[in-house]
Amino acid sequence: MTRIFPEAKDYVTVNLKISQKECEAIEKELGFELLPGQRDRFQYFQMTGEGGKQIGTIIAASQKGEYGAIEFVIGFDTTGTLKDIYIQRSRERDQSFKDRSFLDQFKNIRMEELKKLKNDFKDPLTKGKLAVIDGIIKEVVTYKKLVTEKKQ
Amino acid sequence: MNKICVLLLILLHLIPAKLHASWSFSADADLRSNWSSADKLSAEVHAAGLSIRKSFADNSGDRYIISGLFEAENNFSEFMIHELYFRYKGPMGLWNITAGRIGIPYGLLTSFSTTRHIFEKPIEEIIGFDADNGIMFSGVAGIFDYGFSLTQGYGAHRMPEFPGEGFGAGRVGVTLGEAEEYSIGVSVSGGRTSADHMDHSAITRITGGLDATLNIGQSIIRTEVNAGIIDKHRVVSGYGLLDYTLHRRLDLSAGIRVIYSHNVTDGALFAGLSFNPPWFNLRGGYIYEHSDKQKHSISLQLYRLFSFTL
Repeated sequence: MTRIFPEAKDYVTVNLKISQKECEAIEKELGFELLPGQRDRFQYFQMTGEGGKQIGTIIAASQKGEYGAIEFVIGFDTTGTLKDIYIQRSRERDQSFKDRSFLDQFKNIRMEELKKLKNDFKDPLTKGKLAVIDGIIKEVVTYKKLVTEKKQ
Repeated sequence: MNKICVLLLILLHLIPAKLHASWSFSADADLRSNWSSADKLSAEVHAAGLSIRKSFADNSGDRYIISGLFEAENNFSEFMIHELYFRYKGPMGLWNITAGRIGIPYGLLTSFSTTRHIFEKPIEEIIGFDADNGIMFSGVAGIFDYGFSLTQGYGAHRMPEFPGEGFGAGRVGVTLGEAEEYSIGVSVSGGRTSADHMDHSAITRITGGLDATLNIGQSIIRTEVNAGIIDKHRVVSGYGLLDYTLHRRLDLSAGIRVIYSHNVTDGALFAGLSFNPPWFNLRGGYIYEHSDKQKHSISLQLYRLFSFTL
């Protein structure tokens, strides 16, 4: 987490239950099903700075690649802009999704703009890269449904 | 153990009521069938576990964590509190104080447990147990992680008596790579422990070890080597496990285990397959063991893990 928020002083783990109705709404917006372990619960971390003030959000994401789960971490600032992303674990043959030239394309993009990004890639997308893109969009849509829309 | 439960209940009541809290539960079932050249064909509920975790956050971050792992083994003939502890978490997990029945910070145990694996690590032969009653100081600082424990030396199978024999263990690790692919650790342990799970006699152990976890393409390689003096005898051990993903639902595994103790070398080789559809894991493997006799065994495991949050 300190890779994305080096200024963070602490973090709060938030675990949310996902109801059947919420799961259906998320999957409808995504256009694909959530993974079995992600259909009934969602976890994220509120990063806090001096005096407990929230400085951002970290989501530890996981999406199926060609050979198994690709795990990565994404961080958003308080405006909902993606601050950074890094890959944690994967077992893919093609590792090009780890290249910073690919991952840096997501930085400084607001949550609501990330869904459109999938159509903007000009280079052919490998299965690993598609998994990372789908994983980011999945976490963003889930966060929006469970957190952002409930605050409004 | 009753004293520990009472202490944890007292601590639970001392935690300020306004703190944010969440419950996490997980349960697992490990069913196995085994054939060996030395024994008959057998089948059992090898283990069933229930894990409960509750964390309390104050206004700045996660602060108090209570966690328990309760297990039934061998067709529900044995019940055990494998872990039950209270943790006070420092800012960003830079330091944590954990007290109760805790996992021992030694070798691959800090990130990889083989209690639900067909091919197990030599834990009992080296430090005696993977969990014990005591206190631990641990944390993560950048790429480094550390843990130091001082425990009674009884393990998780015996009901604790106070003060206990006295056993210390510690590990310092470093995680490298842009995607945190490589983890290396150095461990030490020393003190007196029970000679066996339910044995009231004690032996002296002094060990040192090196462990490594390497993620390379479709492979994960886990290795650990140890050396020391246990019960006045020189002991050396080595363990290696390779998991290779053939397909998103199919893994190949191969392992080796060697223990030199009491001037005798025992070894084992393992080859196996894991089939991982969405709702369970089906694993099968062949183990060849070489000690004073040769033993062949084939194991089949059906494993399921459930997790939920309240």
